[in-house]
Amino acid sequence: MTTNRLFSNLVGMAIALSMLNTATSCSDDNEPARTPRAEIIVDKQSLEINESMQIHFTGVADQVIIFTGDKDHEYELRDQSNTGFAMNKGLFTYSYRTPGTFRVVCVASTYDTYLGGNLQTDVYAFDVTVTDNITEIDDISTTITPNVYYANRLSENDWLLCLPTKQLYNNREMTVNAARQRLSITIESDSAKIYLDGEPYNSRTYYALNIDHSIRVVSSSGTIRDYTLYGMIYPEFSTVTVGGKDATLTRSAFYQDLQTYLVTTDDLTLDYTVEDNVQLLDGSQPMPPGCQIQLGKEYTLRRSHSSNPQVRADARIIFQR
Amino acid sequence: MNCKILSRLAVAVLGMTLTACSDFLDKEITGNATDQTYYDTPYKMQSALDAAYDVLQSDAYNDQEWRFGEAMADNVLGVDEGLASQMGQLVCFRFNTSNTWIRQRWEVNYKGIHRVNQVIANINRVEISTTSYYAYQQIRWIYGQAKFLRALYYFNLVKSYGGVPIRPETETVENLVVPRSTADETYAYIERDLREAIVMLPVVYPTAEMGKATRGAAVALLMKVLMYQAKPGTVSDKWEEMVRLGNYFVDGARLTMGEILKYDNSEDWESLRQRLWFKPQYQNDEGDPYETADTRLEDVNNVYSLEYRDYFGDPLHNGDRWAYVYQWYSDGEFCKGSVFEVVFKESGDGTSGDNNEGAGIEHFDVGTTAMYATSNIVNEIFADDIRKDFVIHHQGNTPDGEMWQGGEGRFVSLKWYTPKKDKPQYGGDNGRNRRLIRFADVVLMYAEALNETGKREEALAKLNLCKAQVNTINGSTKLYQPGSYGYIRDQIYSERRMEMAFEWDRYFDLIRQGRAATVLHTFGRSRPNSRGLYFIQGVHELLPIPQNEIDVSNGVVEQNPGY
Repeated sequence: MTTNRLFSNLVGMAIALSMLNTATSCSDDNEPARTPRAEIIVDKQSLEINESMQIHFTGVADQVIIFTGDKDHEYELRDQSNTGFAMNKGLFTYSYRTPGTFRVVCVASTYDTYLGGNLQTDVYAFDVTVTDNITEIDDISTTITPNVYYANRLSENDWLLCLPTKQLYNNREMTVNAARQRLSITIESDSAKIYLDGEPYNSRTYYALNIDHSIRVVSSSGTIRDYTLYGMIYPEFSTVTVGGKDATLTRSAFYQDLQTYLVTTDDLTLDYTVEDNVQLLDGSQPMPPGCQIQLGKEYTLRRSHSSNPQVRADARIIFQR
Repeated sequence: MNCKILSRLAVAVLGMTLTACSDFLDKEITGNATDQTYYDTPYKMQSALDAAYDVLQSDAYNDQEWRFGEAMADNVLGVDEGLASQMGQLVCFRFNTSNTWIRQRWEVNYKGIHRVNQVIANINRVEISTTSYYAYQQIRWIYGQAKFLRALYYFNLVKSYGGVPIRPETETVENLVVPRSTADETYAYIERDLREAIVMLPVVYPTAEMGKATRGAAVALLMKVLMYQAKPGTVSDKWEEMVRLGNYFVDGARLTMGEILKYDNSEDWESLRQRLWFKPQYQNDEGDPYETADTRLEDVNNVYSLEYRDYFGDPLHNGDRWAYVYQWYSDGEFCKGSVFEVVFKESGDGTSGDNNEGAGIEHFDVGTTAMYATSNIVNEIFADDIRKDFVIHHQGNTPDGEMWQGGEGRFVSLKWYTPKKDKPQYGGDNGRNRRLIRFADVVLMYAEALNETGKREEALAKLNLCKAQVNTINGSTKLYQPGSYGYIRDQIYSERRMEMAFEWDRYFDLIRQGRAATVLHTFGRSRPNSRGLYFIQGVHELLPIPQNEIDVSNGVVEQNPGY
């Protein structure tokens, strides 16, 4: 065998091999569909709203679709535009927005390699229960144009909303009608029901915010939580004189709990009258009528609640010349 | 016989080749830079830093910035809101964890972090041949900018995904998978970078180095980082510190190095100085400054202004009514109201295939628009505010006389416009810088923090600083009014929406204010495709971690709740 012949033989074999290769790769032989098996592992079947559920596919399929069973994704309504979600790489995660019981359907499909014919499917279904147990109130407020008054949270179940008798806006004093205002109650659940004094709460209803209310939140799962909303008015002097002359009240547009009284005399003897449940304090010390005041110092005018000593409306009082 | 000779020859040749290969492979590469040898001069360090800035200029970065910051919120309508596209799914909150844009935001910011980490991990390899104060200062400025950029990239991530994996500064094959840190840990990491950046960076650079991150940029970003951690209506030391920073930035109050670093003597001061590339004390010449924890930081408030003035202090556009919007054009680059910009420069040579020449920042050109302003913002938000004339554009001429007919209901923002004289010569370029942090933003953040800390009069005064500047355009006397906490806050939110409109920040602003669900649901109810209505409170405040990150980490990187 000469070198030339060896070379030509090698080339010939290479061409034959590559032709064989080409022939194989171009083959359009059909591989028939495997038998599909819809098998999954789900990490939990009892969920809170917005809690993630994970589904791992462990069966046999060329394509896996999950119908989650909630609105627009119901398997039974698949002929009426309801759709499932295609599973990617054998893992699907989902969370529900509304409470309820949902039928989750996993559809495993296989088909022939030739034009996707001979579609075969296997289906597996299970129920998940989604609960909404939220009864936590995030916020209570009322908007009295232009101001927003927020209730303070005193304890787990007690809220206190204090309103002034008047507020300053555009340099004008406007009377605040606390007995008739809308109330905003914020809760991070669309399905929880709120009752105010036994009646369903409505954000467009007017409520008397100068009195106490009981609030009941019932979650969609049936959990009940009761709150008390205390309504108080910042106290003011009924009458007030310093050195025998009337002191003039000026309000702050910024701080509705702040009352500044203008004093015209050098005699700083304070005389005043207040409602029965109101007391003037210097820190924690009572200041009875006839006491001496200091200009610029901040005093507290405190209204106490008739039944709950924790509840009080404190107005800040400053005397200035 | 011939065959035998041939095969022996072949074996011999093969053997020789193998031996030669072995020797060749054993040789050390000479003359080539490796990561072990490269970072040894300030010049090379600077080039590594340039690569970190480069990510900010990339189309990949800017292309996702507007999608998240602007398109997902309620100021705009997109041209692609159909559920068939990844973009449509994103803005309609119908996306899944494999969304391509959610992945791109993750990847491009980590690309930036990886490049910055090259600078930070290798900064101590730099050898300087002199002991001059300025040689140390040069490295310190590079280091400070790297810290600023790393904070910026991590901030983009944490405000989108919550706590994220904090990559080691030196990557090795063994630590490729890093679990997520908590949001608090991530924010603490960002804060530390920014605090150190603030003491390292200069107040201004020489003119030739314009565009580099300054101390002002780092303080402003720290204020924003603090603001995103604080919750409106809730007492927080973050609000308190924002007030101190705002007081320094806007009012020129005293702020020391120790205060900004929260220095507590746990690290020797001189070691800290040397770690941050201040000249070692033992090398100090007479006349070299020696910084202590009590050293007052130089003021930045005289560098910036709300006035519409260019870099040189001259009124923009001759001080006429268009000066406001020229802050966003080439004339207004590094203007008095600009704190940090992403610098773009068109190639000018017509080369194609570049992807960092500003193609991503032009959203409104005659004939091409990616988003439109909503009629809501036109009619209800701006109302009679003069800024509407400049920020919103409808039919007719642009400030430089170009004709644009958007058609019925089509509004665009002139903040996205490129004047004819600035227009690039070649497609895919744009030489106009993107304003990333502005002084007006700083003043409004300061006002918000003042209000949150009970200083309502001062808050209103700062808020009205912004409004009074706008009033200079048309002589209006309308100012914001005093009121309770909620009223002042709502006025600040309203002013923020107008002043910062269409600057790709609205969505994240809504999220951190805690009212994204309320605002987007209201918006969704007004839209035929209900975009925004699918925002789920308690879930969509955070984007999902990209699915491929969870897959490649085998679940070590955990998904956010609700996905």
